[in-house]
Amino acid sequence: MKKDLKDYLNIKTLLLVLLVALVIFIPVWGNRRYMNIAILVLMYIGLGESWNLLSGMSGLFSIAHALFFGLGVYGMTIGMTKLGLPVVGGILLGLAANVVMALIVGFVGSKLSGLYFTMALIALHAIIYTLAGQMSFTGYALGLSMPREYLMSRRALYFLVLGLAILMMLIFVWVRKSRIGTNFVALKENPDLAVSLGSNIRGWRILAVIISAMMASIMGAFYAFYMMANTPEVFASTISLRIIMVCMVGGLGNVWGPVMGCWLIVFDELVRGVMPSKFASFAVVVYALVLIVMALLKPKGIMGSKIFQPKETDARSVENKKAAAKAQK
Amino acid sequence: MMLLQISNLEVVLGGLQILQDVSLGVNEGELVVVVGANGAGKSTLLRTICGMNPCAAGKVEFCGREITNQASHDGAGEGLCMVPEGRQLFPELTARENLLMGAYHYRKDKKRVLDNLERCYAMFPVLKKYEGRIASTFSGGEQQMISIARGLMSDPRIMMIDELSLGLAPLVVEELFKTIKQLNATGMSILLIEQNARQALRIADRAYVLESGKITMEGTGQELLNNDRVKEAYLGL
Repeated sequence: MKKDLKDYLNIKTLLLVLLVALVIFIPVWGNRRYMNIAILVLMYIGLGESWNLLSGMSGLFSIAHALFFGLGVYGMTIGMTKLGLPVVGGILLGLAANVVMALIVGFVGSKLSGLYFTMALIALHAIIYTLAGQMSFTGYALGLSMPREYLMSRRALYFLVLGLAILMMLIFVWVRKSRIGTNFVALKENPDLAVSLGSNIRGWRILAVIISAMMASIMGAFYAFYMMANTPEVFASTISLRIIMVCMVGGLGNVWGPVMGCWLIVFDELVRGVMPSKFASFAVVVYALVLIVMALLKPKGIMGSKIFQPKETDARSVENKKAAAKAQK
Repeated sequence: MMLLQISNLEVVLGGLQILQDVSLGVNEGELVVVVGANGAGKSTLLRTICGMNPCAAGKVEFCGREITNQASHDGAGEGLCMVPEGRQLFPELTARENLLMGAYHYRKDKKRVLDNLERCYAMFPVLKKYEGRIASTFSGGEQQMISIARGLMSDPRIMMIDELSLGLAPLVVEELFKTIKQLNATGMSILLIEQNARQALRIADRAYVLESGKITMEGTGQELLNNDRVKEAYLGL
């Protein structure tokens, strides 16, 4: 079918053009504050892809995703300051910690579905969060500072995290298109059926946790360079909540979901800047409201809207229309 | 020796006796139909053969080997294939991905997977045409085709189909029965569970009538079509 210009002039293209323009121009005119917001937004897009792979694609609701993110941060800072590892070593340390954690989450939540998974994650998150603030190895509550020579300019950080966010999106798409993603979705949608066809439910689900944890870990390693330190706050529930919100508002199980939902982060950061500190937790109230409104109006998120669906939803109706067009001629 | 042999099967679920002394068999290359009203225990029968329900007594033998209470995913690799009631697709996966899930137990053998995929597409050309569409966007009849094709992908020795006609338009049902007959003509053994007695009996080599958990009649499809009791109870004549 030949496409003319008209076919490309729709809201999807418009949004994409706006997005690309924004991505290009932020580092050109953005001041330090806007650059920070842009960096955080991109980081949450990357984390959102990680969460979306586990919860949107594989159906395992990760309520404490900051656990994987935080391990990535700590892997980098501990590797750099305590063990004297190079940057790659720090990344690998975070990844290794996350694979171990993913295996534990996998085996503790033995049935790996629904409540068991969520509860295992909450428990492990609580343990790690507490430990991180109590040990000299992790720098107690104040955390560890990264060596000064690794300080990067905002612009460098921006392009680094932009690359990482795109990498996470590519990983998400690649997994979804591969046999791995087929099994993830199958086990989410109809586990009994998938098992009866021979699918190894436990193996695939553990793999989903591992891939997702490793993605979050890499974003965590980046965050270590952004903050130039770690604090136990990287495990905080507000981070988990932000990740979940970005995906739920944007769209579950869709690669563009986190991109569509990331305006929440912009909003949150802007509000934080103007609100008196008394109302610092105001954003959480707004999150809750947004979540309720979205659940009522758009349970599938922004990507679930009609404009993002294929135009003809019934394969047969396309056929019928073609036949009708032929008959008219 | 029969390909699938069920003898004196008893199934009790939640304290209720669902199946009572059920015996039936399917020969190699045969099309066997089980008809019965709602609640007669038809689906339970299939689920028990596949090992999805525990059975209290009796035996299920497949290829001369006892498979009573065997886990359902083991059956998939041995040629026992079930096309479940109500289609049961993975709605978010594409048609092609749904079919590939059927080939799970030999997924490493790429050539075999692609060969079987081509075979299914040859049988249902509409699936090839829209292989990249997600399953939930297909019509009911097409979804049933995906479900049957997914069953075929597992390279089964016998296909057990539960309620082929459920919730489908009469014209579509007719088409699907034709497909089943064709499939049988290629040598596939089929056990079809069906409420639509008239059409099912027409294509059946042999048939059983299941009533309140018991086999009350058996014979060739034609015999049962002409049987007065069947006519009265199932054909509305």
